[in-house]
Amino acid sequence: MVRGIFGGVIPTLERILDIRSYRHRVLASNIANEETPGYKARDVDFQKELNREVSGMVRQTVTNRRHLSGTGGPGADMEVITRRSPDISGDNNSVNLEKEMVRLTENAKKYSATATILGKKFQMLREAIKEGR
Amino acid sequence: MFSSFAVSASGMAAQRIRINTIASNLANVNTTRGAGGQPYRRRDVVFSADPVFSNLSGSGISGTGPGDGVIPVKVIGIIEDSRPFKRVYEPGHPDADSDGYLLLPNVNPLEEMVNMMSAMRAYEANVAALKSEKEMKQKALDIAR
Repeated sequence: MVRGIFGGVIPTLERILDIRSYRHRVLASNIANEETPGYKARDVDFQKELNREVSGMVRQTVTNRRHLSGTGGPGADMEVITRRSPDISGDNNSVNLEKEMVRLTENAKKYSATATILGKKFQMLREAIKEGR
Repeated sequence: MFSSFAVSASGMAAQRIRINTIASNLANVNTTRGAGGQPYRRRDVVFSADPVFSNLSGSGISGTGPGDGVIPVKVIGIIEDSRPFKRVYEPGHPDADSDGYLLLPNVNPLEEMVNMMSAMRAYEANVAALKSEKEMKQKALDIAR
């Protein structure tokens, strides 16, 4: 597999941004449906999705159809889990607003951190191309 | 694929409708002449997780398939509360019955205030989610700088 100058950690960082971005949408759905009767909180298992992607990368990127399909946008290939949390509200809704806000904030901050690292990677490449001048 | 903005906006819109309904309940707390000559009946909104949306996103399979984790909320209706009206003795009132009893709306102002606070907090939670999505998008743009 030819990785070129955009190989190494950059595709992994891209994938992390995809997963974080999709997880953010799922968590935002939980917050929007905080008072919808019967709604069950959903989530994306970040570690699992990342492992799936990384192991796919190790094998060979092109053997997995999902990587080149380009349809459906980020999230289409991710597994959404329904979180098992005790129903305390009485209307069969399992959203805990405080916990969702904490998850959302944590996820957003980690997204920002990853985006910063990715930006720095490109900056380093730029420095190398300019020979440090 | 719909954005997180759309999901948060759906939550904000739903909570705003709820607040409007609560405001209507509070405004009519003493209205003795509503629809059909009856006192005003307390109204409440019905929220639903928008199922159409989940069919559109991802694989197109509803249920537990991939990509159906993004689900906005929708107000599917406004229902009237069937709880009985309050009955007070007020013989001088033009809407009182022959025994001098007057029917007042089944609105409990205390309950409405609590619901209003809950709706406001839920609205703010959606705003917070929207703001962090905005920051994430900005960060993504900063990669290119």
